[in-house]
Amino acid sequence: MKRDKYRSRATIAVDVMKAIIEQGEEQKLTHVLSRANIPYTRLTALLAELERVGMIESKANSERKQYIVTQKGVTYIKEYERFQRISRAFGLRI
Amino acid sequence: MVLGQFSPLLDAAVQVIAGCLAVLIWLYSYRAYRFLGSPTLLFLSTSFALFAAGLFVQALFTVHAYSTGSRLGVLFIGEGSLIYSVLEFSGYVVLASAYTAGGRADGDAVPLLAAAPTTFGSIMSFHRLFEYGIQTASIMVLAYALGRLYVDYRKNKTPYTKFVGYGFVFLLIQDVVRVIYLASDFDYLISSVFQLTGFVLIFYALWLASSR
Repeated sequence: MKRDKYRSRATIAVDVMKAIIEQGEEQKLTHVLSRANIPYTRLTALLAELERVGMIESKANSERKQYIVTQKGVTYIKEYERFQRISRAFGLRI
Repeated sequence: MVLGQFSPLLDAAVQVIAGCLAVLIWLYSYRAYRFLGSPTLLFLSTSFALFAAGLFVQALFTVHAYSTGSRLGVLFIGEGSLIYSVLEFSGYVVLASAYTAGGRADGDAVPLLAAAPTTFGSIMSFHRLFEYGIQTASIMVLAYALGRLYVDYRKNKTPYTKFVGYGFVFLLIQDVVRVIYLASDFDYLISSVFQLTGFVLIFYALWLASSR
């Protein structure tokens, strides 16, 4: 996947949420890590923050924690994509 | 000619419509900035706020000049035009900064043409020379922004960018026409219509991008 060299905080949060959606039930944190392309410590901090603001929810599985993107998170992704299209219409990178 | 007689008022009306479109573009881009927190979008929104302010000020001065009449009115139109030129130039500089702050495409700093020092004693001559310098610099800065947009379009083929590009071209034509050739109020009105078309195209691009 082609990535911009510099990513804003919003871009990273959206990448993480998209990775969670793509992985679905079988999600592994390593997959989310490689998809989001950030260090582990940063990812855990970001997941905690996304959970605090209600964009993702976690449920305790038998072995590990599983994350689900909430409706608020999905709306955020859609809004992000909308504003990204606006930015790209002007040839600007966010 | 009746149209020529009322062309300053028609021109003011066109400027108000263009100003409203600039406000809408500012609103879209400012919301995008608030959401994404990207400084490039802050530059973009600020530039359109400056364009809108310039267009409204110029329309206000034109209407005031028309209602005042006499030679004083001409002075008002001149002052309005000067304020507009300064605000438009500031807007283009901020717009070019959005592309520079993005810092992805190749290119050096924008060469700005300052108004040449003048020895003319007349205030009006200095006024016109200053305005001419500002407008020429505006053309150069807008051409730079257009160039950066074209480079990005060639590289990424982003949809909607071509409408923004066409919009910038119309704004450029308007600026070039105003610098090179303006024989009458009617010509000024035509150049304002070019400008309005530019804003319509940019707004159309944003509307398409936003409503997909």
